[in-house]
Amino acid sequence: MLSLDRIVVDHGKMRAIWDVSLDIQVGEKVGLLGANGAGKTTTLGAIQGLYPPQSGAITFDGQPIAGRPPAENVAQGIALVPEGRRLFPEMTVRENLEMGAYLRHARSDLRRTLEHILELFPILREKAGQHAGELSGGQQQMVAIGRALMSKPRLLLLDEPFLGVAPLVIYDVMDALRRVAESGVTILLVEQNIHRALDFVDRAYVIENGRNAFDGTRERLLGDPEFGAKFLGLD
Amino acid sequence: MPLDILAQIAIGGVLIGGLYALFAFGLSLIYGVARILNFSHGTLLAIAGVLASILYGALGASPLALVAIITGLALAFFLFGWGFHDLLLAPLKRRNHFEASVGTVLTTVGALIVIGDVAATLAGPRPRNIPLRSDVIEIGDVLIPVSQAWMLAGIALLTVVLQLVLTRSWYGRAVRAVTQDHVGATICGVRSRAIHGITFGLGTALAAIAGVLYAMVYPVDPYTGFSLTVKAFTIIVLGGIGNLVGALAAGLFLGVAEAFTAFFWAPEWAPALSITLLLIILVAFPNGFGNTRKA
Repeated sequence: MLSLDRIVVDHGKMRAIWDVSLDIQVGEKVGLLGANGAGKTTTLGAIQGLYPPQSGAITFDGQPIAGRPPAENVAQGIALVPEGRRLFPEMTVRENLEMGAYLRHARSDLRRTLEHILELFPILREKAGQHAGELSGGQQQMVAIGRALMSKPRLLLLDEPFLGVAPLVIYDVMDALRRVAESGVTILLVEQNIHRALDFVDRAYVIENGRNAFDGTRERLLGDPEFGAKFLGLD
Repeated sequence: MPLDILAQIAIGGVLIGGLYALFAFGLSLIYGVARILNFSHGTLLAIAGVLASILYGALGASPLALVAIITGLALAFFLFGWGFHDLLLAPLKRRNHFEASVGTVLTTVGALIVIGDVAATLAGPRPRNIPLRSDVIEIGDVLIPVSQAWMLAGIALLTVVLQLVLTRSWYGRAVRAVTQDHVGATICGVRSRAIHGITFGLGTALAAIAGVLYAMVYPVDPYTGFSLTVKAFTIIVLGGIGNLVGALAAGLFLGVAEAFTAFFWAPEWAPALSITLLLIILVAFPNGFGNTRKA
């Protein structure tokens, strides 16, 4: 469904990604792991179209999409839950969610999609009229996920969706994401907490300093002594 | 001090304040969405006023002519603003941050000088207004000129329309979304180039409508503009970026304060008031009054 072939991405004069490749099949849950500054967020941004790569290819559904504007990618079924949530603090929860259906393909089904999201996150129904800036971290994260789902994506890119979420609420969010995945949405999850990520995904890519370092299924990664030493603190 | 005189001054202040608010909100929309400080905003208001005055004479001085002038100028200025943004300002965004910010200041200040001079050359530098019939409405002891009543009606109508556009239309929601978090808006599929251009056009159209309403009550010349731009800056600092209610409150406050300054002290001091207020606000409330919520 999605493949990145040796992409290189610069932020101004700084090179953030030197050489990253990955492949994702329809219906998979894939993790993108690594330390702070490894290039995880930039990789998601490159896929969504926020950071056009300097070189390398990005293919989605067999079409080259590197450098395509974000709006075009949203219309074709890619949605991002960004780092820091990026909500509209002085718009209501309902307005925030509805903005996710801004593009024409999603507007016609807006009512039904919204209802579906309020079933996924029932607490948001109570908060629908409140400004997004007034919600707790976990509730804001639910709005960010809901907003991305409003565009009816086939590929959902999640950037640290558990950051700033209370420990008990993390289970609710993870549970909701499992249901989203079961409904057929392919997921690429960026996460710093390796254990939590491997608990959720089928397999993962690990990047280091903007380059591929490891990849494989949960079992293979956990069984790899080099991976264990580097990322799980095992000797 | 008789109460009716105070009421008279306050009404004058409210009217001009409402107009300031409308005009400042155009600047606020442009800044909120495109992050461009348009220094030529006030000059565009003045030019619209001058054009409206000339057209009003040419079209036979009827109320119908006035409606046609407002509609025509709003449309023409909308297209002008859109074109101005896309041709001169948008290319600057591809440069680095420093060049882009200095470049936009140079471009909009340059536009203010060029537009003012061209208009003064073509139309003459003398002040003009739209000479409406000078009937008055009497409410008790308070007299309201019909021209001011029309101005008030125009401001009220536009405020309601703007509020509806911002809250009910997809375009308006996109404008608020971009203003509050442009990355969030981009990943919802809002195309920034288009929304920047259209919003620049809309802000310019608001300045044009404000210009026609302004010329119904006060004389304008092609060089009137810059002091109005300063007032607009004061209002958006006071009321918050992209905040229509805040702009209205700040505009009314400034208008009434100016009216009383002019009456109790001297009219020449009224413009200095906005700059003094701006400085006091910047020093005493560096975070502003608006935008208290953060996600």
